Amino acid sequence: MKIFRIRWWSRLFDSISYGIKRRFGRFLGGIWATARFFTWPIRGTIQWLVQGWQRSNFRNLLFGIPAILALVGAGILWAAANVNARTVTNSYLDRARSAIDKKDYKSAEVYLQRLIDTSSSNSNQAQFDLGEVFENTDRPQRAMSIFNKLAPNDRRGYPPAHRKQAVFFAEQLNSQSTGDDIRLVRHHLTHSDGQRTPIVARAWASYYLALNQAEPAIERLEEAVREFPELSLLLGNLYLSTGEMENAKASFTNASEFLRERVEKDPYNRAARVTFADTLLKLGELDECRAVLELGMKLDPDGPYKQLLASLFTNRHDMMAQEKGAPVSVLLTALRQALNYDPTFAPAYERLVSYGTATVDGGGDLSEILADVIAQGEEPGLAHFAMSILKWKQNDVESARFHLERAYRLTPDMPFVANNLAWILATEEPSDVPRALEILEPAAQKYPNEPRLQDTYGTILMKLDRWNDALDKLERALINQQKPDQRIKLHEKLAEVYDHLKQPQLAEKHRAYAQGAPESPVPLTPAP
Amino acid sequence: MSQIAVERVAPATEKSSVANLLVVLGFVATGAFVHWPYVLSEGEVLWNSEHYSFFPLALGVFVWLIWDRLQSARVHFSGQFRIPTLVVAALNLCIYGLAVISGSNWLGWVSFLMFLMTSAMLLLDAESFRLIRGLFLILVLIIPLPLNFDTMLVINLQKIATQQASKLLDYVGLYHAISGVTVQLPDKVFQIDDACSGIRSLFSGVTTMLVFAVYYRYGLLRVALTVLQTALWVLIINTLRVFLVVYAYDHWNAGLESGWKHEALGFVSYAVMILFALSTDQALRYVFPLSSGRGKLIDEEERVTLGDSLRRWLASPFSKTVSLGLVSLFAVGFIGLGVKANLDSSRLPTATNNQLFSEKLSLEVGEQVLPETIGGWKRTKFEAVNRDKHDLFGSNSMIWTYTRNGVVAQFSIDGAYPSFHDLWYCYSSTGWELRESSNQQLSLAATPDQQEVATEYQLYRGADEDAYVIYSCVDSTGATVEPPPPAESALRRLLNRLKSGNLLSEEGGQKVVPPVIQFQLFSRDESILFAQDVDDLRNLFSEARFHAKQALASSAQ
Repeated sequence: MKIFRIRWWSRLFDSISYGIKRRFGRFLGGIWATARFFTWPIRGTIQWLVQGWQRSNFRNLLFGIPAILALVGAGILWAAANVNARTVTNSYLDRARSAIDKKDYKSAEVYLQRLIDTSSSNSNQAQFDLGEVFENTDRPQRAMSIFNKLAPNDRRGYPPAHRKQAVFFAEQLNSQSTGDDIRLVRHHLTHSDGQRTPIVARAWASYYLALNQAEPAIERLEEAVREFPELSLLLGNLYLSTGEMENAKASFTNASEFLRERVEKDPYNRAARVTFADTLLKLGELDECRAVLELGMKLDPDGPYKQLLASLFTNRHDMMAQEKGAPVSVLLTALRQALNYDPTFAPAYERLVSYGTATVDGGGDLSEILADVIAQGEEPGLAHFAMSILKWKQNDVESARFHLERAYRLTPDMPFVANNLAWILATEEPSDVPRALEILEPAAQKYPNEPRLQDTYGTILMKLDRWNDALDKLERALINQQKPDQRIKLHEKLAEVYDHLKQPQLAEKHRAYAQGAPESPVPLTPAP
Repeated sequence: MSQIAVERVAPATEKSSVANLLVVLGFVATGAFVHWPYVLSEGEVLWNSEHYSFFPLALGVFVWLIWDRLQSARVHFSGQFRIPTLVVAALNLCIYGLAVISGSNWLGWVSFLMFLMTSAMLLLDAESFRLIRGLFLILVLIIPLPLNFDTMLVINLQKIATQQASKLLDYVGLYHAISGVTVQLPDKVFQIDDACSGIRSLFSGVTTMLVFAVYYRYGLLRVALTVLQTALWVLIINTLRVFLVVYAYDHWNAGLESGWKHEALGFVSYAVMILFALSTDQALRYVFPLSSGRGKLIDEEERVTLGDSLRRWLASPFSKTVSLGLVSLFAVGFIGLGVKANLDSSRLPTATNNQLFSEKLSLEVGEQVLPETIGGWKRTKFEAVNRDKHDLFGSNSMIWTYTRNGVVAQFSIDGAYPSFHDLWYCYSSTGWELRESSNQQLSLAATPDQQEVATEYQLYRGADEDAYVIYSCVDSTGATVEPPPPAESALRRLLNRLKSGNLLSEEGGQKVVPPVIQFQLFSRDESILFAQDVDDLRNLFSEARFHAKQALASSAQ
């Protein structure tokens, strides 16, 4: 049975195989041949590997493949890196600029240093950018060193660096600049780029102003104000100097707009407020100017606004006086307003004093005019003061004293009124020195640096034989007194005081100065 | 291991007698003895040196390989001179003589290593010596390079690794700057030290592969190829390591630049480097197969070459009498020179005990050593810096900062060094380039006749950095070490030595007693210094140096 079974399966298998071969032999053969053809590389490789393994030489190759692959890989990487190195400088430049835009100066510095070290083509640009980075990171010396190298003073260099140098040196130009300084600015301006840019125009304007050439300076400033509106004021002044009033007005208007914004943005900025007020004054907008200064006085009591307001009203007085036909009372009101802001404002006082010595157009009587003002009750205080000056000039001491008394009663807070009254009381008969002291003392203590007050105070104390006290006041007056003729008188008094204080050397010194010896500072030589 | 049929190739040799051998052994012992002082001195230097401290290992491997080769073959002892032995012995004696006359420990060391070869040639017959002659290549690696070649190699390899790593960093878009051996990112600066650039692994890697090559009895050409490909792999792997450290910091803040991670990375990269070197060796074996590996000797024996008769002639020993005479002659020569060496006390203690010296420097030299003001210069700062003992800038520095009119100058005492320390290598490694250099004779204002030398450099770096350096060195006796011509290339240094007649010593014949410390003044500015500024700095250096020397002298007492 077993044999029979084997034979049966075998016969069946053989039959089937024969049948398949007869039917599909060629087809299957073709497929098989095709499969063998396409798998030949794999079969061949496997066969080669198996056979080769048996050869030691082949094992060397296998073990060496990692090194070969690694070397090839390293070579490809190295080649790629070297190819990349040719174009990487532009990337560094872009990165550096991007970092500068983002104010990431630390990164920018690294990129630029790399660029400078490795590239010759972008070196000037990179160095310039690096200089700007140093500028922005508070390293001005290093920045200047770079710009100096890029833009030498004696030959052409890198134009943007010349622009930088030109702007820097132009800012330092003034009317005292030497020819070398001006030539240096011109050298850098000539070789700089961006000739039509406002910043270069500004530098050119500074150059021409240093040469006192208004016309080309105006031309350049007209370009510069597009970006620097704060230059409008300077431009306006230049227009004024050349008589171009309309252009001046337009410039002042532009300046005032710019300054208005700035003052609104930073109300405590003194320089801006003062410049703004000055611009308004030039435009004739006195009311707005007053408002600006009064606001400044409120916000910043220690600022110069009192003097400026006093100046404003003094100017208003002058403008009204020039217009003719303005009543004296109105003029005096202007002076009073000036003195209200700053009672020691000398220009206002001088104008007030001038009323006592003025001539009337048409030959009229000044005293009549002043009496008229007093009688009308308009500014009687200042009118009485002016009348006292007039009477004093006329040697009518009695009348002068009377008017001063009236002025003092009406305007007791005016220090010059107190000063003049105290002077008359102390020096003219019948004298009343204690009362003079009583009148003057409050004013003198309120304004300790006003030389005329201290002078009178010292004189009164001399009359009372209070020599030491007199010395204090007279020496304080001498410190602050600038007028030569008044200084001579002070020296005379001080000589007398030192005589009484038994200081002959100092007395002689003052006497000599009183007699006209020049007052020059004596240099001190240090001891060896 | 196969036995080598010595009888087939060896010419007829006289059997060496025991007495002859004993005489030769005596000669060997004598030679070793006279070399011993140089071995001790130079051994200390090599042990303390960063690059050669593996030398005991190299010697051990050498001895082991000799034993391995000799024990696997039938060795014949000779004890007789042959022509090559005579030549080598004569050369050895000359080198030893030069070492004694010049007092050069380096030459003494070379002479010692050569004496090992002389002894081997004398003790063994020609064929036995041929078994081990290739092994002497290992000893070449423990001879320090002369003329500061190793320092130059160190710095140049550091720079190459840095530059190539920089290109890779650019390729992956990691923007940075390099300056000498420094890689700078916007928020971090990486100083590529010797370890990072793989200089340590260069010497050890080359030694490893050389031992491998020698063990497998490679020919000279294959040995050279092995060394070259190993050096190439050192450069590649360490460039990648520098790249990886910077890249890993930037992307993952991995901290591979210091600590255990840095050390681990070093070990891994060394292992990878050796594996690739071995793999390359295998590839080279495929392309240039070995004739028969360790059986090469048999192949040579079977080959009949044109130089065979010459080889036989060279291998034939002198007679016993002649050999004995020559041995005696050379022994007398070595002993005589050795006695002269001892009489001259030419053994120079070159070892530095850095630890003791550094302690002394830090404890007994403080801020008050230098005055508060020196000629208008005002002292504004003081600091004591401790560095790695192998740092090129010295293991210790005491730094006083002076200021005048906006110029800042730093006076420092640095140490310790075994001899004159040329600062040019240090500054060039950090990206500085030389504008001018000179040796100046300086004196104090109070004593214009007493002049002392100092070396001066005017340096620049990049577009806007300028620096001025002036320095001098003194040894432990307080004597100023005479400087060589400053910042010279190796070739020019060799020519200068030839001109001066002193080939061997940087000190030009001067006896330098280490440790050597250095006084240095450094001032950096954004613009070139004017002549007046340079004069002021020189004067500051003279005064400060005077005070520092006084303080050190009194502390030594």
